[in-house]
Amino acid sequence: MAEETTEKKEGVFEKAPDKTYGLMELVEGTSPLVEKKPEDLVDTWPHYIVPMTLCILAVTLVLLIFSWLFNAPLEEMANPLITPNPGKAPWYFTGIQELIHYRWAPPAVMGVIIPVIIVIWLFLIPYIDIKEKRTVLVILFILFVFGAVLLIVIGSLFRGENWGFVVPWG
Amino acid sequence: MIERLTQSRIFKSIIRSGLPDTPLKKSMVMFNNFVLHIFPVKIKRHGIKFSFTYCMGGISFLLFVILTITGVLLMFLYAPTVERAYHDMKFLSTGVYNGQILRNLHRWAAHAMIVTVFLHMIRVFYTRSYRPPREFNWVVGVILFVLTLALSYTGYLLPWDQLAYWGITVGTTIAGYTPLIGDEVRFFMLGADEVGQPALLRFYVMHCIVVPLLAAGFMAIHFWRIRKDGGISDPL
Repeated sequence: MAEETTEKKEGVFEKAPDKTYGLMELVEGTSPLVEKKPEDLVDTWPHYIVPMTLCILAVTLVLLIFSWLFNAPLEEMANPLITPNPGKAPWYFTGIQELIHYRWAPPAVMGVIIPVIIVIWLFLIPYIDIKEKRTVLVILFILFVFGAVLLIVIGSLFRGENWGFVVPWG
Repeated sequence: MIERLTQSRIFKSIIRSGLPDTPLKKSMVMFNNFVLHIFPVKIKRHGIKFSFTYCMGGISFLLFVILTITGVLLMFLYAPTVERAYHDMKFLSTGVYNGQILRNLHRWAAHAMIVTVFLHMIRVFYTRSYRPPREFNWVVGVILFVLTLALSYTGYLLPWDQLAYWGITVGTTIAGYTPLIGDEVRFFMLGADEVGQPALLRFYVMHCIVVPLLAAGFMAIHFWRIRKDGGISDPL
C-alpha cells in the first residue's frame, strides 16, 4: 500500500565526498504516517465544506418552507379552571404518560424510575458492550427505540377523552 | 477583477490565505479560519459519505444555532409574566413583521432537533462509534440528549396558552411521582404548588440562560473530543 502512494526520487542528491552524511532520497507522499497503513484522506476544503454548506442551506430552506406553511399551535390563554380532557404532556413525554396509564406498577415506577433507569443504561452502553453479549445489547436498543416511538405515537395520536383509545382520523 | 480584489491588502488582512487553489492554501483556509478550524485539514473519505452519518449530528447543531438566533429575537418580543406572555404571543402573529414565521421557525426547529438528536444517537449506536477511545463522548452525547429534552420542555410553558399550562402541569405531576422527594422536585420546578408566575419565571430563565449555556458547554466538549479522539470513527 505504501509503495503505491509514495514515490522515491533516487539519485537526486550527489553525496559530497568530504562529508560522512548526506541527503539520501526524497519520498513524496501526502501522509506523515510511519509504519501505519495510510489513511484514505481527502481535503476538507472543498470535499467536506461544499456539501456541508449545501446541507446547511437545504435544511434551512426546508425549515423556512415548513414554517411558512404551518403555524405553531397557540390555544386559548392558560386557564387553571378549565382542565382539558385529556391533558397531554409535550409529545416527547406522552410515551411516559402512556406507560403510566397501563398501571403495571405505581406511577413512581412507570413515570420516574423506569425512565431514569433507561437514561442510566444509555450512559453505560459503551462500557457494557462486550463482544459475547452484544446481541443482547442490540436487541435491548431496538426494543428501546421502537418502544419509545410506539408509546409516543399511541400517547400522542391515539388517546382521547379519559385517555381512552381513539383514532386520529375518526 | 477577482484577482485584484483577492490580492488587495484589505482582503488579505481578513481572508489570510487567499483563494484555496493549491494544496497548501486548501490546508491554510481550514487552519486559519476561526469557524473552520474546528474541522481537520484532511478528513477521512468514508466520514463524509452521507450514508455513514446521515448528517444528523451536524443538523442537530445547525438547528441549535437557528434556535439560538430565533430565540434571541423572540426574547426582544416577550415578557415572562402571566399578564403579558400570552398577549405577546398573539401580538407576534398580528403586530410584528414576520413575527409569526419567527415563532414557527423556533417551534418547528425545536421539535426537529429532538428528532435529529435521537436519530444521531441511533446512528452512533449502529456504527458503534462509542468504541474506545470514544466511550466518554457517547456519555456526553447522552447528556446533550437529556439537555435537548430539557430545553424543549422548559420552552413549552412560555406561550402560556392552555397547551402550555396543562402540558407542564402533566409533566410536573409525573416528576412529582419521584419516590421520597417527589413534592420537593415538583416545588423546585414550579416555585409553588401549582403552575403560575413563579413557574413561568423559572422556566424562562432555565430556557433562555441556564440550559442553553450548559448545552453549549457540553457541545464544545463533544466536538473537541471528536478531534482529540482522531476525528470521525472508523467504519465497522
